[in-house]
Amino acid sequence: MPTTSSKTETPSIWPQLRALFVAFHLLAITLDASPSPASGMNRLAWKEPTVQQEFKTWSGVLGVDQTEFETFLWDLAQGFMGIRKTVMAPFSPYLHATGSDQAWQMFVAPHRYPTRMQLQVNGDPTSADGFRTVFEERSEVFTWEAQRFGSERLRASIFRWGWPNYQDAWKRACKVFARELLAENPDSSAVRCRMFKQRSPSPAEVEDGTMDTGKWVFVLIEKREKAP
Amino acid sequence: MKLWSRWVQLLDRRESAFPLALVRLAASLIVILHISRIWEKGIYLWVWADDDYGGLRNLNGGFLERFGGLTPENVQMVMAMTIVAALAMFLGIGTRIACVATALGYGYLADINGHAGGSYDELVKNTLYLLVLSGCGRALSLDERLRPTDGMTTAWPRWLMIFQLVLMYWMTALQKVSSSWIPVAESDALFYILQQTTWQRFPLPLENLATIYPLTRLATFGVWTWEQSAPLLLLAYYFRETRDRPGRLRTLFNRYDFRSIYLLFGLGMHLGIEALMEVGPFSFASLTLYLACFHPEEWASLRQRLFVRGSGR
Repeated sequence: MPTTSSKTETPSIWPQLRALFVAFHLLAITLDASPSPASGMNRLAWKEPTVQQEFKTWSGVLGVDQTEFETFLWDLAQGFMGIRKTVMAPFSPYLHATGSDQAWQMFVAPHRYPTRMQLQVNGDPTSADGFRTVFEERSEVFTWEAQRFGSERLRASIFRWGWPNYQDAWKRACKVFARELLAENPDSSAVRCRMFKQRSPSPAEVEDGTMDTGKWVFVLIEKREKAP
Repeated sequence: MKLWSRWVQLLDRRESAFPLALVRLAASLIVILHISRIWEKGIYLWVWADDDYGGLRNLNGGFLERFGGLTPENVQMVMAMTIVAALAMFLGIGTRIACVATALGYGYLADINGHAGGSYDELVKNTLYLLVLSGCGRALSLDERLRPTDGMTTAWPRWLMIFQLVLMYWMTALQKVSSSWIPVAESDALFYILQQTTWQRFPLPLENLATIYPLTRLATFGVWTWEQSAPLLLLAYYFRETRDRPGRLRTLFNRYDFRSIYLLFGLGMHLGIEALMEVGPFSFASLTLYLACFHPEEWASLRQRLFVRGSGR
């Protein structure tokens, strides 16, 4: 059986249209895939130490002032996004309708100050602050709903909740966790959701044991609603 | 006009549908397994159901709003329909319609919650769309068994898959602008990424990670360079197509089969990602497109070798 062949008939309108369509598709996906700061266009996120560290390194490499460099990049990115929106206007409906969107911002930079999510319920007399941990990200001990939290879709959300620009979503999620935890723990009256933020150590810091001590951030307390 | 005519003529080229059928099998399997797991573990209740029904976010259900919104039952219905469609796609029953239904179902689910997805969603959606455009049902399908054809289809959807793969690798590389990736500083991106609890497959003791720090630097440089050089894969295909023409670079690319070397490195990288990190079905979705990177004649030759070896036993 032949595995390749080429037709030599006189081109009709269909091959012309097909050629036009394939050219359009290639142009649309290439333009859409082109580098864009879209997901990073948030000044709150730019204040995060991981991002600030990048600005520091790059302004050092380029020999420019860090604040001026940051302002320049913000203005440049805003201008670029405006042009991009105009250029993409004829292509966007096609890309959205066919599921051909191109978003390839994958691990653009390592998160140097990652967070680890923790959920607690109160009512533990043996604990100093009365709270007992029920879930901690990737822990083998605190495993409430660990299977759900361990899925890639939840982990993508958890990663986002560790950034200041996703705090509305984090508050909403904490309310849901609290509702479920309080239903399962009738003796508890409050749930604490929080993130432990710690700078990732360098190899030298690992070797001499001088690691960042870290701190709790984005701490939320959800209390049981009193019966009317 | 001569260039346009050549373009039109090129897209008329036909070949065996076998590689596209392999992509179809792999892509449908990814959809079936992924959505089944989300269903079985109850993950959809948090990520795809609206907050009125126990979900973590206030979500827009699109067309489902007319039928009560993103209730757990409605989401289950879409998941069930997507799984059934993907199953039909896998078996090759009403293949084109099954591909359309799978693409619509998966696309709908993946777009419900923008906070709970990853690049694997984009890749799977892109692959499904290209399968819709292709004649992937003309091989390894019940359709083909019931209504046999010559098993041939146009080659351009397979070429678009190769282009999609190149575009993904290259554009992700161009956006790796961190000083940890670009070899202007330490090339320590992977050392820090592997410390991120969120993406770890299992906890990596820091002491062990620090011990292999030079290796992580080498891997960082290797991955970044490899991704940046993705357009060379297109050049390799061009050189294969024009192998009769002269040129040292062409000869070099063809003598050592640059394409296979490039894809072998990619396979190693994806296996490494799978071993150390949990990033959803991204690696499998990427490797699915690798199946399109080989010409039907190469697949035929492989099948023949396997068949001859198998029947010789």
